[in-house]
Amino acid sequence: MSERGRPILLVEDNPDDIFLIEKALAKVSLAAHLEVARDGIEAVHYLEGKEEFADRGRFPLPALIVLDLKLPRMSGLELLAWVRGRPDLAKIPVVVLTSSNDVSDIRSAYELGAVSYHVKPAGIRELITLSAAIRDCWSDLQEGRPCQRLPGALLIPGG
Amino acid sequence: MGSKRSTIFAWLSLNTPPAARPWRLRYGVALAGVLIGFLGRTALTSSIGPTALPFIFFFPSITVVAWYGGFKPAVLSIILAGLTAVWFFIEPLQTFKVRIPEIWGLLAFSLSCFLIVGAIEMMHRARAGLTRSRDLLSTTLASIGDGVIVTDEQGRVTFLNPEAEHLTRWKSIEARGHDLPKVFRIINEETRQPAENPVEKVLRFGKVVGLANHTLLIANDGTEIPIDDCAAPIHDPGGSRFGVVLVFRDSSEQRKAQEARNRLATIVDSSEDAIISKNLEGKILTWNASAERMFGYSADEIIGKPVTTLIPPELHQQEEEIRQRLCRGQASECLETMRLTKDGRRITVSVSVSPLKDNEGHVIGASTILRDVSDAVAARQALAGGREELEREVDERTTKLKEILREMEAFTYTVAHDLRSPLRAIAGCSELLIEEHGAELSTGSAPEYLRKISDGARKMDELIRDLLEYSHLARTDLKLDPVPLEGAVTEALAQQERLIKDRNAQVTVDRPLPVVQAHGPTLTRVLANLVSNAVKFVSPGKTPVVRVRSEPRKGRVRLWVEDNGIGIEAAYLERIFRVFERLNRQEEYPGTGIGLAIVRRAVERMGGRSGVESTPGQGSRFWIDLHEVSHP
Repeated sequence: MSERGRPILLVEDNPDDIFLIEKALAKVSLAAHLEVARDGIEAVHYLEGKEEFADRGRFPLPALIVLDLKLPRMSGLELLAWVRGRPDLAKIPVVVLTSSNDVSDIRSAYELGAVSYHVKPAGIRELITLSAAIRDCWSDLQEGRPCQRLPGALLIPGG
Repeated sequence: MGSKRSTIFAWLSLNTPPAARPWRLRYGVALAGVLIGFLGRTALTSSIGPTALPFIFFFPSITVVAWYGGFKPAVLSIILAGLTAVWFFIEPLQTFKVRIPEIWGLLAFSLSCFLIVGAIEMMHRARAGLTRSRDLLSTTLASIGDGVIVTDEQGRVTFLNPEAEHLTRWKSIEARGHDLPKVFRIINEETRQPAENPVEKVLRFGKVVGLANHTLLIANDGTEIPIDDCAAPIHDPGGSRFGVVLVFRDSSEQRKAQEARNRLATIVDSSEDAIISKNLEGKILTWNASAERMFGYSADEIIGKPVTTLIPPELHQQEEEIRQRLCRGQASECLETMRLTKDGRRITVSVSVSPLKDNEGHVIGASTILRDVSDAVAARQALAGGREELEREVDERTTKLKEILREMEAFTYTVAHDLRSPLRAIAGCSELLIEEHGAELSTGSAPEYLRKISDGARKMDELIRDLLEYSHLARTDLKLDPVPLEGAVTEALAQQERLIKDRNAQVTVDRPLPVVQAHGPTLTRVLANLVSNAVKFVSPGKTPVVRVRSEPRKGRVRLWVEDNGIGIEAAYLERIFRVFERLNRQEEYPGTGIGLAIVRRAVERMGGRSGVESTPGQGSRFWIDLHEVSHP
């Protein structure tokens, strides 16, 4: 998989959402491999190369993390904080994709360094549009360019 | 002139006491008397000789002088008469020498004269005494407040004093000689029959009698006066009756006072409150019926006992304070305290103590009014207990409610995440089905069914999101900061950019816009809702024209979002701000029906108001009022 570059790590517990996101990313012909962690702890294991993810060759560090907030065991915001506390991981861009549109969640996510925040759309078309943005971002990162701001991101005025 | 003449008559009057006459006149008469006696004797010298009857002519003069001039002028005239007789009529004539036989004559003359003068003087004195006692009597009768009528032994009126004249309206002179019942008409007040003539009664029984109660005197002019009286016989020193004296008085005032006293006594006796009076030593003087009921002591038992009998020992000090206030003339009002009943129970009473004063204003005691408030106190305590219980219950319920609220939050969070994820699966998969297997499912109604599944899932997702937002607004405290409307409007338009483009709408904003007190994200959401409504509710085929502008309103800012849409009928202007109120069919104007409810609640949470003006068919003008933040 390494020939396709560094993967995208999707941290998501809902199988339906995983299915739809995979579908949408496939629709926009994402070249990257998509790795999935089913909760925050699993994501930590992946990023630290522990347990079942000990093989760095098979499970390289991701170029981008797509993160749900409501997760079992360790929440998305906790994971975000943990990542930001790790200098070796802090540079990995994190895109939040969650069902919460709570203002405090949005604010916390940005304060913890998320590059963009998206509420999961109801329809597949909106998800495909978002997937295209994620694909472009990944491509930029692959070519050594900084990931440009993702379109359609929810922003807090002044925040 | 008249007074001078009457003075002269008074001098001449023989009834006048000599002392009342001028001394010159009295001594003048003394000299004149001696002179007349001398001239009388001299006139007879030719017929009886020079020395016969030397004294006799002086007796009439000296009698007159004693009567008219009194004792001292009479003594003077005796001396002068003696000397005149000795000089002119006794041998040797023209000398004061007197021989032995004539000395006896002179002594006899002097003695006779002194006897005459003494008798007359005694008469004068007796008469003066009589006059004095008569004056005393008439002054007494005139000055006493009672009416006095005197009759003779036949019951005929002989005298009325001024008060009797006033009450009967008869003059003493006019009444004299009339039978008493004519002057003193009395009837029984109740039967209005003539009352028995008291004089007849006195004459019959020969002793003092009183009038029956309720006697009315009918005066000469018809006035009726309630009176009290008594009549007594008058006896002469020999014991035989020679008249009756009747003493009576106007009893109207007394009767009024009595009635007032009776009324007060009735009030005191019928009062629900115990009313007690005591003197300054604290001895109980009066005791009404309620006091008897309240304390169990009868009046006979308690009157004369110290008031501390009724007071628990530990409160005696308080009573002493009340007593000291009392001595300064101060009342103690509505003091709530304890009292002791005869059987040793303690009752809670409200006590008012007021000083009792004598006519000169000195405090002589106190009246004490006690009300048994045991029941009221019990009720108050029950109420206080009830309130504590109520507070406890409110606390418990508040705790419960907070618990429920926490559960609600958890529930809505679950709804937000878990309920919407199957919807995303339904919408996403149905759309994937159309996209990937459209060709296979292009027959019959299959595409329509798929579209309906997808649309339904999307609408439901929208609905859940709006409902969550609406309930979230009710729970959360919004932190208000100065927010520039410029930025909020720009952000809202950016959020609705897709819709605006799709509908080809013309949106204008009258800038600049002021700064308001608000919660930024919430204000943006409100504006986005209003702009989206303005663009959406326009007749098909018409270009939506939306104008956003602001106007100042006394410390507030009114932001208008005006459209050229279908408008709202007056009857629905308020209803559209309620949850799920829709005026239009879903197919024509899609939406959840919660948008304006969110607007209203959000603006209220930011301390503002919202509303709409509209002309159906021409457009609506929605407004929100928010506090303006003044610029430095």
